Amino acid sequence: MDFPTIIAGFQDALTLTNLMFVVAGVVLGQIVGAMPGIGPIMTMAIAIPFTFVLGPLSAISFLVGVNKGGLIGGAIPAILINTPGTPDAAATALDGFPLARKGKPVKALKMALYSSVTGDTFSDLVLITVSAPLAIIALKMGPVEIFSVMVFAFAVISGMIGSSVARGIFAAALGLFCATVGLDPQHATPRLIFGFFDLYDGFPIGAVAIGSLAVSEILARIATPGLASRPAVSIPKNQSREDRGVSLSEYLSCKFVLLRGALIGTTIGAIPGMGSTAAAFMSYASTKQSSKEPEKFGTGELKGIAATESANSSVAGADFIPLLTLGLPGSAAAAIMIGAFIIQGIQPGPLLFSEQGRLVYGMFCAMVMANAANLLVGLFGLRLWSIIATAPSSIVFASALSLCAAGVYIASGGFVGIWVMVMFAFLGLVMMAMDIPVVVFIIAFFLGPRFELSLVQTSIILRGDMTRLTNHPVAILFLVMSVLVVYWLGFHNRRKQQSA
Amino acid sequence: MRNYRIASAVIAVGCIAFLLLVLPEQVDAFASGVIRPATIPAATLVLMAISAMVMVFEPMKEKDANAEFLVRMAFIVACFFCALITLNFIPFQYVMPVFAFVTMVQIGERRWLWLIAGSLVPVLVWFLIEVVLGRPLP
Repeated sequence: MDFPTIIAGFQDALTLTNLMFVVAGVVLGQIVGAMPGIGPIMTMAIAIPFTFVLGPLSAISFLVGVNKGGLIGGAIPAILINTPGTPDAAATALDGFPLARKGKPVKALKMALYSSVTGDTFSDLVLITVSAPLAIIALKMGPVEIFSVMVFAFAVISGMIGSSVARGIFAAALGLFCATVGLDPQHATPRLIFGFFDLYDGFPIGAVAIGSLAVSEILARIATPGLASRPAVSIPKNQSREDRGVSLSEYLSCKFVLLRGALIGTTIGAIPGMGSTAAAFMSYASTKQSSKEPEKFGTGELKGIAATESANSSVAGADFIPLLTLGLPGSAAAAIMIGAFIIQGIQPGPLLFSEQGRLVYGMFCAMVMANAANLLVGLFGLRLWSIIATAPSSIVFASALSLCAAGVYIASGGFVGIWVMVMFAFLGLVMMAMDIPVVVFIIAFFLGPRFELSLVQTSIILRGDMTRLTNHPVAILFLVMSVLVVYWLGFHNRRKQQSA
Repeated sequence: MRNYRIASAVIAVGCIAFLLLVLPEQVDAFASGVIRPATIPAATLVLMAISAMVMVFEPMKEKDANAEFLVRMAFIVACFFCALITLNFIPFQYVMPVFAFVTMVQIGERRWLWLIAGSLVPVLVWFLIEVVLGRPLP
């Protein structure tokens, strides 16, 4: 790519009109991202027809803004009321909500914002500099390799099982079992749908996440006596400055966590179909495992928020790697972006850089602008959100239940989603009562369909002959890494028990 | 015997019963393919049954079964159920404000200003989603 084209692209992007569209997209994304069930994907889909009248760069900049704004928007209700606005924010609730309950919602929100912007900027830089070679590597990830990545993901996540291995295995098996509801990936026959044809596609992910994580927690809190007058989140009046924000030293103490999260998110994002939720949970699990104080995770640990937000946000930039270089959408957001490109008469793919280089570099510049806008808009908006969360618990939790019902209805397209949400809320309550880790269940549920599909494909490709695995060195690498991770976890736990 | 041990035993028996009685009815028996439609569900049920049996013998701190908590939980769940069933016949913007009001009163809120404000939130949600964004709500 010649230098004048890059400069021309940047000049196109750095106009006041374009900046306005980026900021408008970020503001809209942050607001709708905070509404469970709507999220940035649906907003992008709704906004696409309106972008038809805009120029290509303005249209794409606006949609990029919505997508990036939605990343931080989803974390807002996850932190304040334990209701993830988007499925990827479910992991953020694990430490964000406990920190908010400690009276530090602004700190939790700011850490999420900084981590999100850091991860996103990292993946954008990777996209701008090394997208082409990364896309070639990502394209080599066939079913066998993806299966080995899944095995590796489960190995990493096994570190989240906690003190009782039996309860952890039960949660993971239950998650995988629930993920098998719907059409079988190989024979396309319905399984465990009990006559409900709406379950052909399986349980709606949003309904399961909101039901088991949010509704169960809200019901448990509503049932707690003497809740009414207490604010949902209490912020002490004379709160010190360090409790209201994230200091530079706190941010820097998370630098390796942020880098790890960004690397995981960028890698996962470059592989089509893996998704940001898997990245967020993998980053959280690996951070917890490598921490010297893993017991602090789940109680409001800043590193937990940093790990999840940096990972799920870095997927957004990496999603564009297969999209721009190969024309393959790696996620729903990327698929919508392809729609926007085609509406504007642009065909994403290998020729995009040579035919539309100016537009591509304009878009890269708009992505970086969107990150800056996300930070500035977020710093102003998060204070407003945290004030809303200081309303009495009665109003916050009653409203949250309505919001959950509305969000799940929209996301799943009907009443089935609402009943699935209720069912999983009960399941969440039972699991909470029996100390079964809900998080492990959710992760296994998210990874389940992809795991089964890649397992079936792998069994067909290898035809029962394990020696054929030698044709897949990347898969072998991931399988060896999985064994090493499990061994290291066992060794680490045993050493910890001995020292205790 | 402690409650959680009984619950774990019930879960283990439930998993085995599901595996033997329900799974064959709900999954097509395909003879072809290395991984059949029932393979993963059956494997996960076996894992769940085994781990539930282990849980029967594992020590766990018994949680307090507070009667007031359970009664309040039952009431709020019943209200939520009623609201969701009513949504089949009456639109969201009428049902959910009533549900929000009842929930707030049940939680213990008695300040009229907050009760009115809380009841209006679902109307705001309906306005944003159905009127502004044009997405249908029940």
